[in-house]
Amino acid sequence: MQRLQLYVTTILCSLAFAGIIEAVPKIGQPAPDFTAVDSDGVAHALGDYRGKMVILEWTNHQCPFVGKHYGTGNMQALQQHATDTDVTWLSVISSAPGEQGYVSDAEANALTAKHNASPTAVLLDPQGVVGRLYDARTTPHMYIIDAAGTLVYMGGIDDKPSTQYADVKTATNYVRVALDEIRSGKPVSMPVTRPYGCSVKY
Amino acid sequence: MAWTWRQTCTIMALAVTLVALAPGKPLLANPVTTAHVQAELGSAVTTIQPGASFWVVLHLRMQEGWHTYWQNPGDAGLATTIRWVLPDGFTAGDIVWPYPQRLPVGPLMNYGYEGEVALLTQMTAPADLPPRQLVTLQAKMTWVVCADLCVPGAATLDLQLPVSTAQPQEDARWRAVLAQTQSALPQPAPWQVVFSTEQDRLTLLVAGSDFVTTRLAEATFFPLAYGIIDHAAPQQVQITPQGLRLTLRRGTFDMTSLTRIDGVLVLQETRDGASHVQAFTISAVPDRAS
Repeated sequence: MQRLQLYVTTILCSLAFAGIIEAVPKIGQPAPDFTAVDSDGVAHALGDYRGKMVILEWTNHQCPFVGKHYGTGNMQALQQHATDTDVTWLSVISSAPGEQGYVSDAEANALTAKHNASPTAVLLDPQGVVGRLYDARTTPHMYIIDAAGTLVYMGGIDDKPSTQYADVKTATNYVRVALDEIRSGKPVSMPVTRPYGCSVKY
Repeated sequence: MAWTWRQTCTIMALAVTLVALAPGKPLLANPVTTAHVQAELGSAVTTIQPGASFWVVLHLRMQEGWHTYWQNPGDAGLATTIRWVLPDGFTAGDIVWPYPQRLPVGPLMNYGYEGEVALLTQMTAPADLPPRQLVTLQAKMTWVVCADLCVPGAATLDLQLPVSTAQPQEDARWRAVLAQTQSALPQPAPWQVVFSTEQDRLTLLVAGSDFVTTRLAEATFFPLAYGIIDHAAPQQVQITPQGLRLTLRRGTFDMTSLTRIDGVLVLQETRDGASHVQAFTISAVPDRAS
């Protein structure tokens, strides 16, 4: 038994040292699996959506960077564009209780209605479990998972880090570009970009 | 129901205040004071000499507990920006940044400044500048100031200086700010630096024999670009016979075709019982040996 334990420990340590056992999401690797409850009390597991593309959007309605994208209707248009073609859109709120952006179920649903947003669901992650699993750092922070469950994009929503509303129109929307490339069967040309925004309020 | 004059005036005052506080509405003055930042523009000289270069200082004072950002803000936030509106013939250099601090925010890390910071710009006047009453140098600036919340801001600051062909006099106040900031400005590194990557690690090797284990208290690397390192991860430093070895955790960006890593290396040494900090600009190239 001792020898087996030694072997197992050695293997696990080697894997850890080799970076295989790690919570950091990697492009081209399976996206980290998670289960989270949405603002209607329904549980969602990433595995539920195998066979569909999934977009994860970290958000905080009080962050001015999120405000830029919702105030201009940019995020809502992207959600519509995605969900119209059977992509699952999960907004994630990882603000801890008492921190900026933290909302109750009812508040989350009220915000969705107020903004005319159309995510498939809003996941409430006050313990920051999903946030830390994906190493989500800013709001917004975007991830795209393909139908096979592979992470194919992570980073910013576009290439103009600012709070200026006018920048939305002239920016390259990385998420839109990636979606179009995936649908055309092309590889994602910019799989990792700089996410910008307020820090996630863990 | 008819409004009373008092109600009308209160509502109007409120509306004006809200409009003034709305994001993106620039404030015009010098200095400019907002809820969490005071910004002031100054010059090291009291007159502009045609053809001469001189330092302009953008001084930011942050409310306690709040910070503004460096060129690479780290995990979140945005660097302060300046867009100059200058008379014909004037040119302004890029911002010269004092070295930043690591500012942890929960599990994340930002790079920036607490308390106060002076961002320097070298201005050059045209040689054919005609004698004029006053020249106005205008800085349109944007910033993000954060504590645990973030507040974006913008302001337009004007600096007016007379033109004189005589040798410029120093402005005592801003000259002192400049002198104080000088020691925090990164100097070109006198050493060659190479980098190599392995798994999730980025190693920087600073070649030199002048590093002394008993003197070096801390070494921190601040990359200019996002995605090179994990900003929050601890940095390990060792002194080897070859020099300084910094082991950093890699960031999210693919580095396979990276030919250069630029950044600032901040060294803290203990000498004669006192702490000395010196910052160096680094331009690391791939280690050919790896």
